[in-house]
Amino acid sequence: MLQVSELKKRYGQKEVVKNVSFKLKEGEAFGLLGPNGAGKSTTIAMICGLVSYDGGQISWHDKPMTSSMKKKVGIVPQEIALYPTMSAKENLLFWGRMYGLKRKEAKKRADDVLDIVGLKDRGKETIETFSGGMKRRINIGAALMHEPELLIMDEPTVGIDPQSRNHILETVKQLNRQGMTMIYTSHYMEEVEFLCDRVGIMDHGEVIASGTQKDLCQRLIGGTVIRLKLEGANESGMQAIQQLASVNQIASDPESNTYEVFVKRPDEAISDIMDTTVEYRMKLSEISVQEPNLESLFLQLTGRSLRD
Amino acid sequence: MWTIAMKDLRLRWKDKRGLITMLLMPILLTAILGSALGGNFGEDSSMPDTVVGVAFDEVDQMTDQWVNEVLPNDEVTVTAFENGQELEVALQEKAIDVGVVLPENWGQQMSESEVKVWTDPEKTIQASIVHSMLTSFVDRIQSVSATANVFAFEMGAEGGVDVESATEEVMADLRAVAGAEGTSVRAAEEGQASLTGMQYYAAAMGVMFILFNATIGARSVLEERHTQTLARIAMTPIRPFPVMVGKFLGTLFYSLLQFLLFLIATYLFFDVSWGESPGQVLAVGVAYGVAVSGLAMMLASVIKEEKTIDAVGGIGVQVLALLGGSMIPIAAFPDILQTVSNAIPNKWALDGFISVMTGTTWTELILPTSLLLAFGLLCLWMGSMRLKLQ
Ligand SMILES: Nc1ncnc2c1ncn2[C@@H]1O[C@H](COP(=O)(O)OP(=O)(O)OP(=O)(O)O)[C@@H](O)[C@H]1O
Ligand SMILES: [Mg+2]
Repeated sequence: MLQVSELKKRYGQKEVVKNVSFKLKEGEAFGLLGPNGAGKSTTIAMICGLVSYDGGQISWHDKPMTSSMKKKVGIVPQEIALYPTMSAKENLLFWGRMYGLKRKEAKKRADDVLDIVGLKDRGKETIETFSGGMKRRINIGAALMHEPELLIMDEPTVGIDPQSRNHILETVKQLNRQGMTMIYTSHYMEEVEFLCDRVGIMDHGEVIASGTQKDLCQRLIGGTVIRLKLEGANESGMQAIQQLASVNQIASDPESNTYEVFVKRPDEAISDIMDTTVEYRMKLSEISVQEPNLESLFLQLTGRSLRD
Repeated sequence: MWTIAMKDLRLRWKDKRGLITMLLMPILLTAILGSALGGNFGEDSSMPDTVVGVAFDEVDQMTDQWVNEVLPNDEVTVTAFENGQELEVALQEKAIDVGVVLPENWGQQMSESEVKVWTDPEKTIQASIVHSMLTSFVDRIQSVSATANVFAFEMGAEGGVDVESATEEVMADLRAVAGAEGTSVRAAEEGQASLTGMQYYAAAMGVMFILFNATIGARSVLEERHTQTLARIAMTPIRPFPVMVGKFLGTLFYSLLQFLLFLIATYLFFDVSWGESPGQVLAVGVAYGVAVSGLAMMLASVIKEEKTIDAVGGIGVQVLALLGGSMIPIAAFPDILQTVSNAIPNKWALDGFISVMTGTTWTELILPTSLLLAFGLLCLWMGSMRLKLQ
């Protein structure tokens, strides 16, 4: 239903989004995963028509995007864009009316939405008295008022407690099960793993990998990550590990003395690594094996972890 | 569009502190300024010609004002003396009828307690009249400065207005006001009703406080940009221009509401007559509201920070109010300033209200109202062109 191809955006000299392309089918949940400043919000702002783009195309049901599409899309901005001195319900009513609902419809829908986000009995209270998590829920609710076909969420869970976060994730999952198409951006890979069928991983304005979670994990070279903690690591020793036949790649974080080693066959690699550390007199204080996940994929692709 | 306007109106209605500043302050100030000006020197007319001798050892602003401007009138002639002894001699020689000795630093302290009023025993009535004039002057000054303080405090609390300098300015202006003489601010022209101080200041204060909506309206746009609600509105199917018109209307409605309440309050409580024709008053009021709300959108498009708008607004409103005659009647200005004041909208509005109060025809109102409307709509248009929602 939505197709984004070769989208580009520059602010001055800086290319913030470079050639971002993805496709969305009805009922699908698409995750955009990327660290701070990757260009997720900018991509979304272009889809919503909030900022202009310098190249590429966005089409909606195979036609170029027009402003009439806005009626079908609900957006949850990264910031809590609500009126703090108005009550939760008044906020919902306002946003519903902005999407063209009649007063009566909006009233009825506001009650439903309050129910969906689990704040049925708090509708009369003003937003400023709400906790961060409750504000976030209303922030999502405001985008649900007009029952959009596509729901775009920009980091809807930043800065809230685990309980609210779980509640939000469950709500969103539920909406997706009921058939709502969605784009979900986050820097928490576990959220994206939980919610999304397909994932695009963004870094420095580019989608560096995309596909279903399974596809992506299989693309991991070797698939498994071994995490090492070494004391007295030295360069020749690390080089020796890198050159082992069973090892594909190493990402290192010298400050905490940890190293992530990408391997094909974990058993073989572990014994090789142990031998090498002894040979080069490095003290191995910790070793662990991680199943492939998006986090390790990101690590492999960029040599950095998602969150610093 | 309406939804945005009504939402803004509701938000402003909920802001209790803002409500007090915008609704109660102008009424309070009108009461004080109006009664100060209309100060009842009732006995004046029955007062026989009197020569008052005043002794003081320091000339400061207040003393100067009282001695040279407030006290003298048709019946009262003032002679100044260096000290109490000279004054006593003059009194004995019957060169003066009443003698007043002002204590040291009287101008700063502004109290009447240490003032001595001497007279010869046959002229006690004159002495008591002079005494009451003194009392009323002191009272006026005190109440005006108290008001100015409250006012400055409120405005300071509203935003980052530079309270001290603002206070000083307001005080200075108000002092001049308290000292201004005469109950009729503008001499009656042929066939026109004359204007009382109360009427003048009701119009003046109304105009000044409605002007604050320019800042408030602009601030509300900046706030919405800051909290990203404006960006969120931009993501809805509504087009940018109606969004701006909605913000404009929100400001306009609030201005009109404020104006209506102010009209009613001044009419009911202070018997202020706004002229024969309610239609004309409303026409000027609406036109002025449009001008102010348009100005708000214009400001919002050129200013980026909320802090800046507070500072600009605080000072800007004062300067405009001063130039527009809301503090001192324009006739008291030097010629250059009078020319300058012809270019500012609140002056057109004040002129409009005053001419309605003194009786005018619709044709004569066409110019000020259409000027105001044109100004407002032009500002709105330019503002919407420039303004970025994000
Ligand atoms: N209006 C703007 N002017 C200039 N640069 C901008 C503007 N908006 C965003 N950027 C830059 O674009 C880059 C991408 O920003 P964006 O907000 O899209 O990242 P993000 O992936 O959403 O990050 P986060 O996870 O922190 O929300 C950043 O480097 C940012 O500094
Ligand atoms: Mg972002």
